[in-house]
Amino acid sequence: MNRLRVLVVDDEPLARTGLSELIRKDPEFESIGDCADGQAAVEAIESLQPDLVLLDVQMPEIDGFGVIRAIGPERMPPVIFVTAYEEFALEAFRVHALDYLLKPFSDAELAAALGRAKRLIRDDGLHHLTERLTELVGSVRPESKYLSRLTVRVAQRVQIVRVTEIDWIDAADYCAKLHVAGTAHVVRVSLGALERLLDPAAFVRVHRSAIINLDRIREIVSDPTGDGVVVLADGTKVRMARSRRAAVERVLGKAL
Amino acid sequence: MQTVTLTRNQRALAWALGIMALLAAVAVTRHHLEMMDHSPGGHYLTWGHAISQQAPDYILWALAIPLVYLFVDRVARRRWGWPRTVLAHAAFALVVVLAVILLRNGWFGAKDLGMIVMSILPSQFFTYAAILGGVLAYHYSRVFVEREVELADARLRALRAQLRPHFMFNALNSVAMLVRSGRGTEAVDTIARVSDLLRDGLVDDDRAEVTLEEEVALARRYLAVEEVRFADRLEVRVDLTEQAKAARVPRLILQPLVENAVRHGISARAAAGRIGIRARVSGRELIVEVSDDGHGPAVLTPRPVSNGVGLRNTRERLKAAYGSAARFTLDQAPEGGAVATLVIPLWFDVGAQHAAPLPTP
Repeated sequence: MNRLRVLVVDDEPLARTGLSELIRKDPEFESIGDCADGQAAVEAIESLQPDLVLLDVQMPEIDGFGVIRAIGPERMPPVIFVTAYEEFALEAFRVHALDYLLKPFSDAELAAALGRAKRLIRDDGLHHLTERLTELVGSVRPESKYLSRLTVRVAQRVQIVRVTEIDWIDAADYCAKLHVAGTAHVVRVSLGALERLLDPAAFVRVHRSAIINLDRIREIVSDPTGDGVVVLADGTKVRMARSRRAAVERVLGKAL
Repeated sequence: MQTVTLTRNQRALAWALGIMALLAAVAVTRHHLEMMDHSPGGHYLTWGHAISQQAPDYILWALAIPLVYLFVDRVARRRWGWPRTVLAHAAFALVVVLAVILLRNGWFGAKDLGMIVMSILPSQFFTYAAILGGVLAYHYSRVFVEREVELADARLRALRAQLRPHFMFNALNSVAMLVRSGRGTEAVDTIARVSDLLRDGLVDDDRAEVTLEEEVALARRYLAVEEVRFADRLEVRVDLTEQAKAARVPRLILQPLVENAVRHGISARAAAGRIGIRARVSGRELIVEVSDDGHGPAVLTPRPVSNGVGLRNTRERLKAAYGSAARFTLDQAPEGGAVATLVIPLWFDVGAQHAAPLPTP
């Protein structure tokens, strides 16, 4: 039987490496990586498709719930939440019968949680898990905030991009390309995940492969077929699909 | 029935005015009776006449009471040295007494104002001294009670921060992870640091003020535990001038600022962060800065309400201790992040060396 591939997500270095070490001790599991923040977790889950994610709840920028929202509960691998103390989160886990580990946990507690996850995955009980995750994300939505910054890699440096600086975003394979003042930065997050993380009052998806910042729209040109072209402040033209027209009208509060 | 609630200041003022009114009544009565005994030819001084002669003095002095109180309060909070304080009081006393005499006699349009001033100046100074005595007694009893309450408050808040479940469980988790990876020495160090912190919160220490050096040592013990947790993500820099180290500050004034810096400078972002504590002396003021290189203050990024309470308390504590002579600001740092700045009147304690030294980690 294949070993189960586990991803560890925690913003504290000690907690992260310690957890990975512990998982390596169990021959049935394989630690495939660890992530220090939510954005890295979204990237890793989309590209590595782990069988199980140990997910810290409280993290900078995109927290544990934000990660699930970005990936989408239906595509999210089974999760064991790891948290020190988060009253509202614990309550939510209990309500939706999701597995969680409380820091600090003993080796036995971790082994028990891993054992339950193993049975769930092997017996294919994932269908129920998806339902519960959907409910969980629905129940905590008001608590989580929208993304305000993204990190992008520029050569050897990590650069911070504020979402308000982004003019528009288009899809490139399974990545997203952020257009910021004439420069393009690639983040390894799908456009769909990004759309779910951005404030819908500030960004709108105008096409299957394009999201635009509402502040940058200069004009919208419609043609008789229903499709259209959005012209941005810097002159960039982005195609608008007929199917997205209603959504654009809704955020603008105006019929086109 | 409608109940009227008075603030403590209003109550004190009501008492002072009541006492003045009583004294005025006694003086008017005495004046009336004296004039009755000594007036020749049955020329009795009427009550109305007695009141008009005596009351203006008392009304003027009653009006002076709030002014004297405000002056005493301002001077006390500025923490001037003795010579300057005495000089300020003498100058203020002269102004008030002269104002009372001039107003009193201007009332009747007196001709020999200079003569009158010279003759009644000493007695009026005595009246001023009596009022000042009462005001000082009230002021210091009040300050004493306020300080006690505020210190108890600050201690409770600091203890709560140290015992905050999230902080404590994460610290214990760090210890557990260190043990698991065989880093026994570091695990023991962390346990010792957490214990130091608990001791700071639990040991009885009733001093309302400590030296900045002691206060920074306390903040460092808190940061030491967070440093283990965040490892390479947290860097702490402390830079105090020698003169600043000995300056007096309210106890536990830095704790909420440091906590705030960790929460927003480090926990709320993925990249590594730096926390700086800097202090220097500028003229007669101590300037303390707690900075982080996170996202900047609340104006730019909405921050949770809970921390707002901590910073509001800081502002209130400073105001209670130093009035308008102290300032507290939270600004965006030029290089990004936030910087909290405390400006406190410079104040040293000659008895500082007798205070119990805090254990240093």
